[in-house]
Amino acid sequence: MKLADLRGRPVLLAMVYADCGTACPMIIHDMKRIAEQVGGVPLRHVLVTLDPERDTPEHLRRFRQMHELGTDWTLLRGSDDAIQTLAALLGVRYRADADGTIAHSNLITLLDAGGDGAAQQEGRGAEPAAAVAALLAATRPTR
Amino acid sequence: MPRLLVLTAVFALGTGAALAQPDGMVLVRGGTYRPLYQSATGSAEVAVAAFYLSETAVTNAEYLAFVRANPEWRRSNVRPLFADGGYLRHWAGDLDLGRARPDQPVVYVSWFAARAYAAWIGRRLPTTDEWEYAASASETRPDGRREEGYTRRLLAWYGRPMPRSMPPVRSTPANYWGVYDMHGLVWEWVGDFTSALITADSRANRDANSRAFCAAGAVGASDFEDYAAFLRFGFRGGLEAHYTVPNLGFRTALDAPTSWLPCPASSASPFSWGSPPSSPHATRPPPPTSPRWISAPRSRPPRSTTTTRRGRRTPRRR
Repeated sequence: MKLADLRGRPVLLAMVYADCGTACPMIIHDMKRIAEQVGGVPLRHVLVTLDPERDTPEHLRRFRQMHELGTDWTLLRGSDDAIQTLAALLGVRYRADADGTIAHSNLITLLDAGGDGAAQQEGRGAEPAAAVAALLAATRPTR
Repeated sequence: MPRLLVLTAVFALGTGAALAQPDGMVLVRGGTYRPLYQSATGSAEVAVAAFYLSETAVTNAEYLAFVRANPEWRRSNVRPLFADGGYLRHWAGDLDLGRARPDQPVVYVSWFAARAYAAWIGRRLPTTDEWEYAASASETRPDGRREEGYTRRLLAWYGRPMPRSMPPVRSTPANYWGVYDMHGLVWEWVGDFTSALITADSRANRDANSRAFCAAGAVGASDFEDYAAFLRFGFRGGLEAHYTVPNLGFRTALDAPTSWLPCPASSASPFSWGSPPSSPHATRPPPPTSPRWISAPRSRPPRSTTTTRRGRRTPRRR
């Protein structure tokens, strides 16, 4: 799958991993809050795993159920190389530690409907107002 | 008899393939290495498997061959997403080195560019662990830290200003592995530079102090050696994949056959240093301590990037 395949609707994208017990659920929570506040704007959510080895399709399916992610959420995995490239493009830092955890940036990226990067939210638990404004701006028709 | 001849030929071919040393590379035997930055619960040492490392950094001449064969990586064609405005600025033109010498290490190259070059010749960038492990060798030992005067020599290089004219590759003596210029010439990209977590990470967001690299990096870093590794770690943490820097180049690596025996375990700690980055691109202020929205970069977005994208693997033309 190419990111270009996501064109047509604004995309909220984050890189997480299923066994993450702290930050990732918060990132998902933040993405949901943003979506709630923009109301009826058609939006796609994309989560790309930082741990493709453990996050098998089955593992991701359970993750989807656990977090009650609807059909507008897409969960992706890829090769280590592809994930490294995407992380480099988005500015996501991550490091797998020997204890099985992965330290990583808390970053939600907004792509507009054309697939262009529109804004990023850094950190957890942000008030979604700025994100909502960016999202609404990204949904305005452009010539 | 003909059958015997055929078998002999096959055997010879097989043996040759297994032992062939890739052109311009040396074998770095596996061992253990103590990374600067460890998790609270992780092991102090990590194993590094045997790998091949290029003897020198990639030169201007070698990189010129790459851009000749790959027009999309020429200075006037490269996409801003993959390299900032400084890309190859020390060259006179797309295919003109100008005053840059062919045997100088190529600099002003982004991580994307370095990776594309490595893929083009069927190689990859070394990992941080591989680079640091190879760089911890002195001229005579795999673990230079144990050698009298080694640290002092590296410190002397660190103290020198960046020379006006970039020296050629092989300007410094080869180390134990036969690798040149790991210290003393240029900083070098590593494949996983994104693992240098200076910016806020998932756990460091808990409070302002623990967000900073320094607080965590200083744990156990009580001597100059660790300070030097800290500098490299800090440098990598300040980079972004599209940055180009006047004293940042790269070298290539390759997996080695797994049959190579590892060296005896050592307590090698990474050390040595390079000049601090001299480009404003290479450093940036610490991230804010509260969540925020930040503007998207001016460069084009990852429109064509795929989650299954891989680097070009065009055979190298000589």
